[in-house]
Amino acid sequence: MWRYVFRRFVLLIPTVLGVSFIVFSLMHVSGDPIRLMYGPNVAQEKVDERRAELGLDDPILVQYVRWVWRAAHGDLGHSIRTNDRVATMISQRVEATLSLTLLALFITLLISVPAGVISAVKPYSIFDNLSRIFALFWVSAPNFWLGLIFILLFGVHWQLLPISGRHGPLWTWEGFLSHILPALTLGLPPAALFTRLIRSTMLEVIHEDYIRTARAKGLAERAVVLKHAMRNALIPVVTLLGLRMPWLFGGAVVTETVFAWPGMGRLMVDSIMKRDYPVVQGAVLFLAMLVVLANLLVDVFYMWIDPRIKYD
Amino acid sequence: MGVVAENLTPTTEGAPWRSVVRRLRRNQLAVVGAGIVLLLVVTAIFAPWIAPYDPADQNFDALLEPPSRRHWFGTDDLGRDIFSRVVYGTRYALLIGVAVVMIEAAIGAFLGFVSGYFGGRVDAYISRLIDIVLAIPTLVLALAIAGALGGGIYNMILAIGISGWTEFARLMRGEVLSIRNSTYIEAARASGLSDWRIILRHVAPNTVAPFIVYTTLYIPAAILWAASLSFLGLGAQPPTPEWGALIADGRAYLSFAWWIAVMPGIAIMVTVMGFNFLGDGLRDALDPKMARQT
Amino acid sequence: MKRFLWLSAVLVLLMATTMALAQAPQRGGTLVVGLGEEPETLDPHQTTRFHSYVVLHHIVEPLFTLDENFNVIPLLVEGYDWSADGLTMTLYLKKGIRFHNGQELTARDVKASYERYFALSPLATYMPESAGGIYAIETPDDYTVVLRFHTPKPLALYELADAHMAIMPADWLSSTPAEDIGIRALVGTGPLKFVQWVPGDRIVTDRFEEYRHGPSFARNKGPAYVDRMVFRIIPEPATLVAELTAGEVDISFDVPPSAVAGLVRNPNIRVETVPTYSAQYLAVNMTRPLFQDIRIRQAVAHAVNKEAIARAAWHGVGHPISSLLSPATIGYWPGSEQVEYKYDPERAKALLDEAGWRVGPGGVREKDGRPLELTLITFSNIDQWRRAGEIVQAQLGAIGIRVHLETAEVGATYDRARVGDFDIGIFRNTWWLGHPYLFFLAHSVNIGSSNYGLWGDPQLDHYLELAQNSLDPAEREHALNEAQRITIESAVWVPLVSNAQILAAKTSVGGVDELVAHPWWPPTSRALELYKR
Repeated sequence: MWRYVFRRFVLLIPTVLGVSFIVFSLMHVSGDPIRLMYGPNVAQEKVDERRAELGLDDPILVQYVRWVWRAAHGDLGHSIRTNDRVATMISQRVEATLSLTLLALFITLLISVPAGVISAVKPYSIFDNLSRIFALFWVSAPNFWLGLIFILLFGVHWQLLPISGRHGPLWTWEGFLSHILPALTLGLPPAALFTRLIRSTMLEVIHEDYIRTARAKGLAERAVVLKHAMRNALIPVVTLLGLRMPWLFGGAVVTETVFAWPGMGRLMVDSIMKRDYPVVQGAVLFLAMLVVLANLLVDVFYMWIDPRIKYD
Repeated sequence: MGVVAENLTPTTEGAPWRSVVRRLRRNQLAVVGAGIVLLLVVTAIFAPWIAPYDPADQNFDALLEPPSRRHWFGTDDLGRDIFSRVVYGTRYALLIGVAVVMIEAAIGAFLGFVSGYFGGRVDAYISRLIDIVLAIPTLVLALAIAGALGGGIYNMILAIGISGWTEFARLMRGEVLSIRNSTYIEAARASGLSDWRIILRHVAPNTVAPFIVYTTLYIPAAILWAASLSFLGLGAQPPTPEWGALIADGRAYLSFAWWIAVMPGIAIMVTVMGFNFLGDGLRDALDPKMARQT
Repeated sequence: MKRFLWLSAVLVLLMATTMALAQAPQRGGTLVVGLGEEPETLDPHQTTRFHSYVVLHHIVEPLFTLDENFNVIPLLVEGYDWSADGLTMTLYLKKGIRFHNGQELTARDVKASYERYFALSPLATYMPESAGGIYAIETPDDYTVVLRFHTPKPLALYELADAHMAIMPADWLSSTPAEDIGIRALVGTGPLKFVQWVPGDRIVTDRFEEYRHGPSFARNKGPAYVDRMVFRIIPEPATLVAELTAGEVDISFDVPPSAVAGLVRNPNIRVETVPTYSAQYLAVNMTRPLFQDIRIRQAVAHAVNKEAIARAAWHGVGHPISSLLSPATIGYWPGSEQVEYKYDPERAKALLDEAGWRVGPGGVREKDGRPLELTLITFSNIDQWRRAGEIVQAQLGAIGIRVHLETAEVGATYDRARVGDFDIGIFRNTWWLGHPYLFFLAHSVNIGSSNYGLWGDPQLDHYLELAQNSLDPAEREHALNEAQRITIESAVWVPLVSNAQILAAKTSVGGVDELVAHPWWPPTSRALELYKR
């Protein structure tokens, strides 16, 4: 198994290189960041000077190789806009995104696990249909629209919760309150997906032979359901969780914009819009590495949970 | 010779379509979904007859009017009738949904087929490409592409299409692989048919069903992505009444002219729900075994 | 009866006192300012952006500033002298002015700051040695600074009042890591001192207790009333408005014009509009053969209804302008109102007919079989420009010109504009000083960079140069006026609207009257005038 893990690790390199090259090319095609930053009131020669300083006029391949070389040595470079180190900027934002997405994930699971289990135990019942519609309702609304409406209702009309901004870490009262609305906006829609997933996997497992066997052995129904079905329903759920890794760190783009949340998503959007290449590349590189690692972890988890699965 | 591979179930060949429709009709939610989709198509086609006003007509004497008998959904800040704009917006929603999915299906089917058929190094490269595309958050990739190409509906369609083909590829690859490895192939090969022909003949019918399902489920996803891109400023050109752009236009007025942003939002919700009900129903009806997968 | 009179007298006295006390500014509290865009850096010597300026201006100060009549007045200096030949300027610093880190402001701080500004700032185009400006800065004693110029610079005083030429301590500049300045640390002489910048979230500043040298027009010479001023970064306009009406934001300059109608009806919010020096204008691409005929250009100018744009795109928060310099810009020529092309669609149609463009079957004019179609470019991501584009498209359509509207985000639009990949475009520009501003927009040397009409005229060039370089103020004024006349009459540029700055504040914020009495900049006065009731 360790040989497998090692090989997967090695595969990280071409994947990450591919990601960074694609993003690099896209950003360079999109235009000149210096003129955008300086605005129209600055003489062209000043713009040209700065471009030369930053090496932006060199051939794309040269710039790319230079970036890769530095990144391999741990230097992600400096933001074109702020001159701050990209690594610093990323590390400052990661915590904000993580606390939000983790809470959102918690909300998703809190809703979908019981709903999925109950739906599986009582399929096609009223509860099942209602929960399906409910979940579908949340998944159908555009994410930013949902956020704005939440703000309008809970923040402006009923004045129950802070409207925007991160007012502190998750474990402080003020911070926690400010996490609620954006976490709901993020966490409710995926609940549909997870509920359906849990429901369908459990349904499948419940019909499997060895469950019937366990029942024949006289175990209480509840125990049957909980122990065996859930263990196996776990697998696709974990897969989905693993696939959500990039989302966990950088996917809350629109929600972060609506709620003025100082996270990675906003950093990436702002940097793409302002063509701040180094920041976009650094952030995407970071995410890509996380994704590959997460996929690896998921595979290892599979192997651990089901010894029948073997990779060559 | 009598061994039939698991995946070559004949559910999607010939007569069983009748039973598919039957199963579909019994599913109430699916019927509702189909109804909604039908309504959308009709609205899109007959928009000029359904909409009472020209969606680009500016009327400075009727700015920001709430819903009334004259303007069912109210008017916006340029005096344009929201109901008409939403109705015409149906065309763009369907255009975007279908075009994006066609791009995704085309790229995905092609790459998936090639990957499964040739195997080996080609398969490895394409799988790597899939990993790469999946490693970048979809919206970020779409934003970067749209930013590089420029704004506008067609660039947006391309951007989303290029960001979302991976599921189709995986699906196609899976089907091709399972057929390649089956003994049916060996038997058929023995009777002199080329690999390529065999696979095509057997892959095609077997992928129709999942492709239909995926299509119905990916259309609403495309519409939602497009709305997000419009919200961030990279979508349709004014005065195009694309729903996402309508919401983006109306967001500053939410507290006192809520209808400008809320109406198109409801339109999106209904559309997405309709396609999802239909898609779920199709999935359950086309292959009962599929209903247990995701 | 007498007792009743006594009682009422006492009551009246009590009421009067309470009211008087309520009017008096109260010290203390935190003021939350809503920013619609995050500054990229607060370093005055490196930034060019408006939102950076809005924040940093409270923290660092230049030697001079501008009063409500746009006269340059001293801020950190006692006075100054010019030599007879105009090549030497001597500045006398005020004594006893402290930086936030306790050090006293001395001449070497000025020297270090100016030299850094010349080395780093992309805005340093008039004063440095390379532009014939300052080649030496001497500090004969702690409070005297001598600036030596290669050539006379008549606008030098205005430059010295620019917030970007701010003074920071020499020792601090040399000992602080470059990547921290403006991001994690900023030291100046302003009424607020930098405390913390949580990236993407907020910038926190505290009152600087030792500030006493407020400008002459400020009612309060220092220190600031509030304990703390927090600048919260809220990029989504709907959220910003929500925070203002029901949340923690007390005041903002970034509410979109579309929100004004709703805010004005809210009894807890006060909305003020103050003129700004920004201009939204339409430019015609003179490299297109079609536009060589002045009648076509004039037709476009006559077809545009600026009032309609001000009302619809700017929701009444913009005013039509007749010159590329708005009335709030230094050097604005009131005579421009007489020479501008007024809204006259009939005249526009007549001009087009005269030029041989007849209305075809589809309502679009054609000549020699070619339809009159134009591509209009403008910004997709700024509401007012996108709207203006739609409105102009409709207005030109009304006289028989079919317009294809192509919007893109700001950077992409300017990229196209610079290379002339468009027929007409609606752009934006803002600068407070008219002489270099008009030079930027209209001088032939800027074709391919900031001159989006892509047109050069020798006479116009001559006037623009004279406006900047003549030593005679009357001649400068005349030249700038003539330059404005030429730009308007040429119809290469059609000035549209200048927006007013919208100030929206909760009614619990005091000092807003004093704030709007002075034009919206320089913002140092905000820290000194605003308080929380």
